[in-house]
Amino acid sequence: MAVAVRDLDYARGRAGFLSGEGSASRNFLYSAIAWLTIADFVGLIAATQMISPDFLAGIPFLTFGRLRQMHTNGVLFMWLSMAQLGSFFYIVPRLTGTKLYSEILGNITMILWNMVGIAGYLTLANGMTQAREYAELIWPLDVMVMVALLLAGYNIFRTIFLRKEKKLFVSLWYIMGTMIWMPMLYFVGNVMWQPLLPSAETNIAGFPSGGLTGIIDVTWNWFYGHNVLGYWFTTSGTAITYYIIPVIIRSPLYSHLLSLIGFWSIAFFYGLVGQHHILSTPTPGWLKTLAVIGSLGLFIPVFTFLTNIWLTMRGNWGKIYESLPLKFMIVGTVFYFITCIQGPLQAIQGFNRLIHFTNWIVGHAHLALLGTFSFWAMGAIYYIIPVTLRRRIYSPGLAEIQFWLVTAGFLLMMLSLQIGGLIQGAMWLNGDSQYKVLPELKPYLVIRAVSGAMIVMSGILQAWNIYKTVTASQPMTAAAPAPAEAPN
Amino acid sequence: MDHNGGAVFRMDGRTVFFGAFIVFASIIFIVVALPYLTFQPPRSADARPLSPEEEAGRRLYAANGCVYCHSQYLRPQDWTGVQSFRTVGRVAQAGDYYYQQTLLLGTERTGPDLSQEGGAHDDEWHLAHFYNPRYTSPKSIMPQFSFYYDGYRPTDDVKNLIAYVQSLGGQAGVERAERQRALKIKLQTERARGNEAIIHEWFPSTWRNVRNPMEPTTRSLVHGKQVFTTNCIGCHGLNGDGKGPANTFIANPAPRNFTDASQQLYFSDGELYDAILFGVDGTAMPAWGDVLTVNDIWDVTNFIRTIPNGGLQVDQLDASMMVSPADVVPIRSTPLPIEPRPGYVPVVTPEGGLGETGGATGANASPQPSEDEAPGANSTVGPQPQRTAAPGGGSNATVGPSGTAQP
Repeated sequence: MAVAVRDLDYARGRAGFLSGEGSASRNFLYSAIAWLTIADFVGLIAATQMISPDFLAGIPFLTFGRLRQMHTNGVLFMWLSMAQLGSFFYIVPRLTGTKLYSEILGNITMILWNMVGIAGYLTLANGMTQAREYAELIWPLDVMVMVALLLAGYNIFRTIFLRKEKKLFVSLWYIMGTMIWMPMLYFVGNVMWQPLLPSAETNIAGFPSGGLTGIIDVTWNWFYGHNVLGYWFTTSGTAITYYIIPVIIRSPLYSHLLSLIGFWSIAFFYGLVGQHHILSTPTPGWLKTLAVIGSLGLFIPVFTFLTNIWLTMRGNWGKIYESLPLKFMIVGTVFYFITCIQGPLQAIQGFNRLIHFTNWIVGHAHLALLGTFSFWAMGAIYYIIPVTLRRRIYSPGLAEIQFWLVTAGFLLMMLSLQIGGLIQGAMWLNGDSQYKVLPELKPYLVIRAVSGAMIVMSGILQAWNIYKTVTASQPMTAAAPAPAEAPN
Repeated sequence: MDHNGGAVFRMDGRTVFFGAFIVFASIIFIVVALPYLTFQPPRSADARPLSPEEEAGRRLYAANGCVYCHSQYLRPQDWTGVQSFRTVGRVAQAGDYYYQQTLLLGTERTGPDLSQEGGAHDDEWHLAHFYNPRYTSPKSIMPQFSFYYDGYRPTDDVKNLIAYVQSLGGQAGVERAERQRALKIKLQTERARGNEAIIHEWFPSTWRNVRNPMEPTTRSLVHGKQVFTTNCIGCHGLNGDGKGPANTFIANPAPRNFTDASQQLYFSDGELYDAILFGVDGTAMPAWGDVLTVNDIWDVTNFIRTIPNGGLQVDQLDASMMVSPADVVPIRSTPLPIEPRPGYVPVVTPEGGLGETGGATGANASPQPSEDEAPGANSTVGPQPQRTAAPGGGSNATVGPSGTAQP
């Protein structure tokens, strides 16, 4: 299957803002870029408050607990989700040899998704939250997210149904899986029917809330909380990586069999693992055992995927110096490797005992969501936007600076948080109280805030660079390099 | 595109679509539906539904994202998860959450675990702490909740929040908090009657005659000063006069004024040690046992004795600055009979009241004296210096400055 050759045709489509070919994809990506700068900035304020708690104190909507929710929801559901959906809207037409079923529907989805983000920020800032981690958005917004997910899924499945290329490339399996799993997961994990039941008399958000009564709520919460990573971000990122890397290096994927094993094993194992977040709660033991087994089982999809990608790169490793998006994608796979070594080990009781409740986990979350998925999303943005606009990147040098800022910033953040987390965990096991542990963390929290500032700067550079690419950069000429190399 | 195995398993649209759906639906059945159907733990002994005020406080707790720093369950390894000697390190049980809709268990512990917070601190301590956590806990990085105050006056919001926090720990937490409130009323009532000495009943009699085992060397005093200035000034003030910023909220009983030598010597070294280690029940003085070492506490006990002579103002500290009997102006209150006697052990009745609180009720309306301002009625009682100067004077092991003379 020749996945690379249609980019030229694709790029010559009309350039209507809400109906032109590729507009839904681009608009999703533009929104994602904007949300990244906002959500990162919010995170930086929160990180600063952790070292200087009276910074911007006494302002309700700038309280740490509210900022944290705005940061996590912003990066997860606005930046990453929108970047991934935008990539889907580009990749699916490429791989099916047809146009997106409806650009207008895609753009309606984009507008709806942005409305969720704006309303989400306003509600969270005003203390309207379900207080279930990663499921904080209040129920009316949950409904909007569901509608947007179903619209996006409909668009994608219709496109796939109308495909000209009969064979489904591995990216399409992942995209199809993702668009089936995420709405199911979101519906179940948020207990979205709960507010409709007569028993839903109390609620915690001032709005109907999807919380269950009793300890069972936490098992549902973490089924959702972890699987939103597994069945949304991981599978989306995998789909994008499986598409973009072979296209850029113009080389076929190493193994169909490995893709096959990876796909079905992630589908099976990931769903089991949510309970490893709550190994020490009084919840059923068999559920925890399943979670540990599932976590270890995740080695299978991870290593099949990484083996497949890295063996695909054989003979082409030098191209990471030529292609900026490839550099982002490949560095993302390295961080993915680290993520997936850490993850299953964290689920083992002995290690979990040390690092549970500590900043190690926060470091791990940034490793997965910033180091891995954000790198892949940035790579996708730097690939897709120039290609579909037929314009060169405004400043490759600036993009290079962005790459090193976010790489260095992320590494500093992960190391400071995880070293701090080990200190925290060791001090607790040693019998020290939180109040004694806090001052020990301070240097690490300072480094984290500095690294956060670097990441914010990289986000701003990206936004500026893409803005100038869209408005002021040189169009690619007919003599321009082939699309695969175009972004750099 | 195929490198190998293209024929192993045909991934057409139908296989992917229905396969993905069926696998995930099975997973949902196993890890979501099955536990829901089979795991219904009965309520535990401590489980308790919240009152409307506590429920309102719980919503504020959720709204402000308190759950992102405070967990609400103790793990088996968490004996240090409890931040106060007044509370019990009890590993969470499934039935504890019987009445809760939407759990606030938390996944990170930047602040202390709160699952047994009820009664760990005094209501007034919470008032100061919510306004600015640094007032009571200088090393805390918790955000201010000063927006729940009208000026310095607490609104219903913060009162509900405190009601919720005092309910954590379920039935046991509420009983602890009620016991604290009852002891506070008893303390206030007795003081209003002029019985300042009631406070001695707060400390086990075994501590009464204990001398500070740490010699008041310069090293001890300087270390004690460091402990004092990094932990105590939020309430006891930069001058040690009990007028730190938290004083605005902690009025009754107010933080102890250490600049008054007579108040100092009113307490033996052992009593001060006990007060710091375990806190003082019924007052905002929290337990510091999880934070300070034995060494820290004895050194700060030595240092406190220099405050009337300017220990907080000068850089060079030595034992000559320790308050001595010559500095002592007898406090204007009924002195305590010095005879050793059993310590006061409050008995909590099932209703949460005190079994031993004679006349505790009905005393709220009377004007409450603060620590450094004895009620006028007391002056008529007449000072009895030979008794107040040395609380442990009944025995040979005299407590106080004469007992801490330098070698």
